[in-house]
Amino acid sequence: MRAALASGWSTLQSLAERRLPALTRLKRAEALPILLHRRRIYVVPSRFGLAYSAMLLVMLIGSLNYANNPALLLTCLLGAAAYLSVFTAFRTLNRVELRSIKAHSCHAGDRLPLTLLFGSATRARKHGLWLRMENGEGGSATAFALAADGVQTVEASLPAPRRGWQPIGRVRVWTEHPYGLFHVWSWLHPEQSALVYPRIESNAPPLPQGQGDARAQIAARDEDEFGLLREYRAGDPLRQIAWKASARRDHLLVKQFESRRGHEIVLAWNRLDGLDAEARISRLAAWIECAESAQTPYRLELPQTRIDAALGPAHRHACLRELALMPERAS
Amino acid sequence: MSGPSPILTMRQFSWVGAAVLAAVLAHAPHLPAIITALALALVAASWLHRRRGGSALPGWIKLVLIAVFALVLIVQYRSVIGREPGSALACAMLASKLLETRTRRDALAAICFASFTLMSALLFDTSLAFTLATFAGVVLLLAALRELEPQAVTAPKPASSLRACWPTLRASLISLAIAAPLALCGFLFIPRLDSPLWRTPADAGARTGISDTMSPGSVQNLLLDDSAAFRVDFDGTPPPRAQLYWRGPVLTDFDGETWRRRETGIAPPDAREATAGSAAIGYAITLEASDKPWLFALDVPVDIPAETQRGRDMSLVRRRPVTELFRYRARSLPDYRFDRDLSADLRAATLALPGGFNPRSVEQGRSWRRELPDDDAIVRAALDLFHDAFFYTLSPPPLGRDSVDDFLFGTKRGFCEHFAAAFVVLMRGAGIPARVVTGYQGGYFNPVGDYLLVRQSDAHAWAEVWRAGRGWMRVDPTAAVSPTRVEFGAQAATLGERTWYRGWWLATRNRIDLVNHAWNNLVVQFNGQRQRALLRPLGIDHIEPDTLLWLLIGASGLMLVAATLWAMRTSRRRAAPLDAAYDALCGKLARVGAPRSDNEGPLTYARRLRVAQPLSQRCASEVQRLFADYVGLRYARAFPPMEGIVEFARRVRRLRLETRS
Repeated sequence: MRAALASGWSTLQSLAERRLPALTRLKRAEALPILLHRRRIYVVPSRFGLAYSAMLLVMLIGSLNYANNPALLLTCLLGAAAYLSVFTAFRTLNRVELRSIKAHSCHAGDRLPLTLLFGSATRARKHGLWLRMENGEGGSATAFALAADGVQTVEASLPAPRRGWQPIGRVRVWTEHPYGLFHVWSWLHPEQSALVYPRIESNAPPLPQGQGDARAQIAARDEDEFGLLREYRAGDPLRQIAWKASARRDHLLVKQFESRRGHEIVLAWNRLDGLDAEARISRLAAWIECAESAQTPYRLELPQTRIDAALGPAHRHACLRELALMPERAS
Repeated sequence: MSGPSPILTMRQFSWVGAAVLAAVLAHAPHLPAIITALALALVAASWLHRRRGGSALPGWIKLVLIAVFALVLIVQYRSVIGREPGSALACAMLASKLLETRTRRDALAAICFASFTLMSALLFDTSLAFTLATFAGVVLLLAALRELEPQAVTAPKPASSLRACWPTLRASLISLAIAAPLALCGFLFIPRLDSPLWRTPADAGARTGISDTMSPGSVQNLLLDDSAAFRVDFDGTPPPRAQLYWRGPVLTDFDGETWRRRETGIAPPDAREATAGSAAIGYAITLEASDKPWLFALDVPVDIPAETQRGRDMSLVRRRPVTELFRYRARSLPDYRFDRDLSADLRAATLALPGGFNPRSVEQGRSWRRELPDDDAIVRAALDLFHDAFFYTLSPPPLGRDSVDDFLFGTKRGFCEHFAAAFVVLMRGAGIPARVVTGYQGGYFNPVGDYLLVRQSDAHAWAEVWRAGRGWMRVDPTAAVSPTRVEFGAQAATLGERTWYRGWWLATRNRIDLVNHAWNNLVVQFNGQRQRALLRPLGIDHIEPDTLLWLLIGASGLMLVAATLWAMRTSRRRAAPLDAAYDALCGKLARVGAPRSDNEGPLTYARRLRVAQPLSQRCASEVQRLFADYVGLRYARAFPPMEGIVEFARRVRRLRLETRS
């Protein structure tokens, strides 16, 4: 019953979007930054607002019936404060700006973590703002607040079922500040997409042997072998941090593996016979992660492109991106 | 939103508890102590329960609570219909609701109901002080609602918890202040009902005031009660104090212990037998709720308010009890004659004495009749007796079965009711028709507000005797004993018996009462009649109810338009702080003759400045550093750190440019 109602509602919504573009035009994707203003902010009484106005009506009739003017004054005062709170609620959402969205890396099947940066274009502080990703099934609403002229990052997440570019989708932002009597909301629909890396094959077989003896390299790995230490950069794996050396300085140092050239491994599409395209992509993605954690340079060979052997976040990203953007029906 | 309602934090729960507590406390003055105590205990228990974790309560506790409250209500009231039991029920339900409040949804329901409970407390007390107290409760309600919304996560935690409450309270106060004009507009223009839609059974005998019986000590409590009985606005100059006898129930029947009112029937319309030349005094009385039907008027009323009967004894009885503040107009003749011919049954009733009571007093009356020439001499003899040997006191010694005998020949100390009763018994003994009149005497004239305040402590009892050819005549035996009682009131007459601060306090209160009178006149008494005359200063004598509605819509519409303009006010779009600082930097450079051209980004612009060198050496290097920092802040990261931006803006502000000379 509930499911039927929900599907009926979404059908109605999509029909409305097709038929009444003027009403729903703000649901179309648009470029960042998105500034909320009066032409795209909607106001309805909340459920509590309806219940409270019913109570105010009872109080009004009661005080009129008993011809009790102080009680009437109290009712009027409460009613006026309640009613005027709609303007405060509107002003809370008015001129809130979504400035940027940062999508973090994620593999298909995981949740895609997002960081949204909101800013306020007014001098007033804004409390009691809520945000929910429209496509974020199961994701709960997140509360946030903005200082005067302030910015605030909000963490959210989306399910990422498929590799490739995934649109962020609609973001619903609302507030019931100050008294919870009015629901003031708006849609944000940034035309931004996030790259979802391919799914990682679980229990993937070990890395293929390269031209050199990568396995021996790993086995012989020893702390003395590292030629260089460099400063930590965002994205370096934790296991690569030289803790002992870092403890002597006041910043983190990272072990740099030099002179691995010649011991690289090749991750080739064509050598994975007997697997369908998606399985190959998953296998290759798993191997990339594996090689990264083993600090073995790797080369990626795909039907249409080839990426020379290297190591590090940029290389990993380039390889995973190629895999993520492989056509659906690769032969 | 859908989904389970979030559990309240302790702070949120405390706010809701405070709002509920305020609503329950507002009913405390009129509720029986046991119900107040139970409700308060329940509020405290809920708070402690929540503090210890606040798990959901088992069902049997709720059942026990319902049973306890039902029992107490039934024992106290025997009904749940009516204002009193209804309000007790509301308090009980509200307190119980708090006990099971765990989630935001529960809290919203509790606050919704608390609003109603708070408002219903005003049905029992409409004084200015109490109304202001309930408005404080409104502030708490709004503050609790505010706390239920998510607050700024980044707000620093103030040191004391009391200080932490202030921002919420202040915001609620401000929103109430903003709402005041709209509320006032609603108050002025919402059409009042001319007759109530429903009426609950009145609660009789709940208030103090003059009653239609008088037994020893019954007036005594009143004389110590400083609350207001009524206030009077005179049309002209007020009459002298010695004429301020406010006539109430007339007591004729005496059974040896208690004086009772006797139904005398309605006075014939032509009962006014005023002496020519006596001017009628017009006035308006604002009577406090008394739950009794008696209206008071100056001796004796001629023009009476609507829905009121004037008995043959010239006392005014309203059709229904005065359960809320009631304002009426009347006119009185201070110099009056009525009942010039006494009917046989009335003569018999006003001469009747209970057999076997007060034999010495009756005998005294008879002896006066034998010894003295006429009625006048008898009346004077009685007054002389009182004047020579009696004392006025509010704490007389106790009297026995023959109370009048004991008083006249024993204690000789008492106050108005003793003197009036003894006088009437003496007169009846002497064969002169006489009766007791109760009411108020005197009052405090407030010169600022130009009105007379009559308190319960001004309650008085005096006597009336009938004289052939003259009709009923007022005789105040108390005045013979203590003229100050009549001149300055009961409090002054017992000067030695009260403490110094009481007198000072009363004097202060008399002056402050001006505010109460204004409140009663302007707000409490603003009924449909006054509402229709609202536009009289503008030349419109009568406003129809639908015109009122249009006025309401128009006036509140204007205010809403103003509020909308405020909310929609589009301030100049403020640039992000970093861009603003960069614009300021470019502006400073433009003023020294090196403006940025539109097609230049920061790097190109900086390069040009480096090559052209329009600035002095020291400035140039700082400017280059600023450009480098700007590029770093603007383009290196997705979310530039706020501290960096603030520092950058500060350095731009401090920058003083010197050209190369």
